[in-house]
Amino acid sequence: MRRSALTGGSEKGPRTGRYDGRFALVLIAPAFFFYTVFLILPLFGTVVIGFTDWTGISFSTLRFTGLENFIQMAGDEFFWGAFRNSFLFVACCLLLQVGVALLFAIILESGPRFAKWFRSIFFVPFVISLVVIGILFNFLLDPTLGIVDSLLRAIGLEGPKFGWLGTRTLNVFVVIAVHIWRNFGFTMFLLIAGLQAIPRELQESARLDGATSWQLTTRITVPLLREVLVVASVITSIDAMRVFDLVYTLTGGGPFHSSETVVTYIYQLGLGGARTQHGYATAIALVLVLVIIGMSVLQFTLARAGRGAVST
Amino acid sequence: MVFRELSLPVRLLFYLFLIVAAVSILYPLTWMSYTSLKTNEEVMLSPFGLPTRVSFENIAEAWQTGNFTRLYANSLLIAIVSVVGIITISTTAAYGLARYHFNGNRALFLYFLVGMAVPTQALMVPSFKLMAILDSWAAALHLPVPLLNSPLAVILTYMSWSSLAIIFIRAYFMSIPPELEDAARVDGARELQILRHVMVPLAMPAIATMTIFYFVFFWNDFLWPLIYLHKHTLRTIPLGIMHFEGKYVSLWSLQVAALSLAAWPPIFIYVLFHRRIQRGLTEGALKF
Repeated sequence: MRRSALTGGSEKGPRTGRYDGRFALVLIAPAFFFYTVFLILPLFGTVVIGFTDWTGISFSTLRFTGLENFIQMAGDEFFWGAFRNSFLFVACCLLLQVGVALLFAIILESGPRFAKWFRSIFFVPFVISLVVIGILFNFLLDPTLGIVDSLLRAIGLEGPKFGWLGTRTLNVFVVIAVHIWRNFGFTMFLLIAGLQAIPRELQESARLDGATSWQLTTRITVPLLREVLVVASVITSIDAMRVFDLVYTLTGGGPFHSSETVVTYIYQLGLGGARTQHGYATAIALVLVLVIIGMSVLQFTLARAGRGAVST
Repeated sequence: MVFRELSLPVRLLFYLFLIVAAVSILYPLTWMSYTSLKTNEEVMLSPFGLPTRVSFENIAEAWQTGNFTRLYANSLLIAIVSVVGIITISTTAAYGLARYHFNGNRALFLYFLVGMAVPTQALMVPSFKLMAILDSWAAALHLPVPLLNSPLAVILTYMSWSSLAIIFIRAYFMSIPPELEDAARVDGARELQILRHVMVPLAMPAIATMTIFYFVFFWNDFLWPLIYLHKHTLRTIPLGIMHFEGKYVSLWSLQVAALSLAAWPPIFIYVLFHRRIQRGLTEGALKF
């Protein structure tokens, strides 16, 4: 596997090459322009607008309100609900999506029949638009006509009274399940790439020493996979934290905000419907940026601490 | 672990896992596909049965009512322009960062690295405001470039997500031995010629990976078209099928046909190029 950009890739710039700096700047200028104007400037804007109650686009109406937005957040039950749902998303995906992906990656790499077919099938949902998937599952989970409830009725059971997507709390787990259904194949591919980078000799020699399959997997394969596992976990949790399309198409955040996640709530406050609470929505976005960065740093730090413990 | 050496019950259990997962993925997609080939009556009578005869009625009607020609044209325009644009500017920037010594090279690289940590969804409100401000400036100057309700807004936003491509392609450029470049230089090639005729062909694997990675993401993206494109003539495929659903709630068969129209082409392309697509998306993500 290629080394991570954050650790290995960023050595001290070019070791060879030319010294014509002006030409290099010309080459870099276009990317620098788009990146600065349409990404860094909005990022800077997030920090500023989060402390205002700005609604229009005229700078004359820009008024700083200090911490008002953040005080409002503390008393906003929907804000807490959205964050609770998003964290639930992250926890479930870390446990189940990474877990299932790890299990399947190990099974498939051990060489069962049709391994390539299974691999390719598991990846299919990842290339399909989330909107298609969301609407498709709306049909499958429909309380009267959907296949899930039809099958349940066929064996004498009853689906939830208000539907899988209309019942509070349950609907969040249903959206999470669909998210995992769509993404585990991708996570599995990341882990397979990691497994293929492990030298065969290590496993061979352990096998000759009489290690069982279980020992091989838990004592050799998984520990050697930890770096890729960390990357996969970070990607999985960032994806889960900023989920939008599936929630929007499956439940729209409802009923009555019960399945709202952070990004759908930001959209709803700032750009959907009334489009008025720009400052408040941006303040929440600022919290989201900090949470995502914090989450990633935490996972990388825990992984490093863990590595120290293992190697001693 | 070697599969053949596992005990029979364990092997059977593993096969069961694999088959259950495969069916859970294939069944919804198959159901979608064959349902869109049924007639309305058949869908109502037995929503999950196989079609008794294949009918393209609903597919044709969904294409018409959903205006799929338009949707495909819009999606292709946005995805192709954005991908060509971002790959071009990222490749030149990556080359500049990988091969030239100048003050601030490292600082610029770190500056581009910031973009890797930013969740773009969090920027939606300021981005929208920025486009609105630029749009009002353009209108004041009588420039014929509207930014609100224009694909340009989406394309400009996408073209700012260059961090990953720059980091990925830069690392690849740095792994190419400098002798190749020097030889071209001795032969009298100019800087831009070296980039175009020597370095870009050599870096093609990395550029291809990034092209696939960005194309899939731009093609499937829903949030940014939703934010910027409010006219129905501008809708991309995800926006189109979202509104298709809203308009014909009672007609299942037609809606499922619309889903098929949106899902089949990507699945078909995946079947043809699955190895490249799998590698492109995986390698791109592992660079994180």
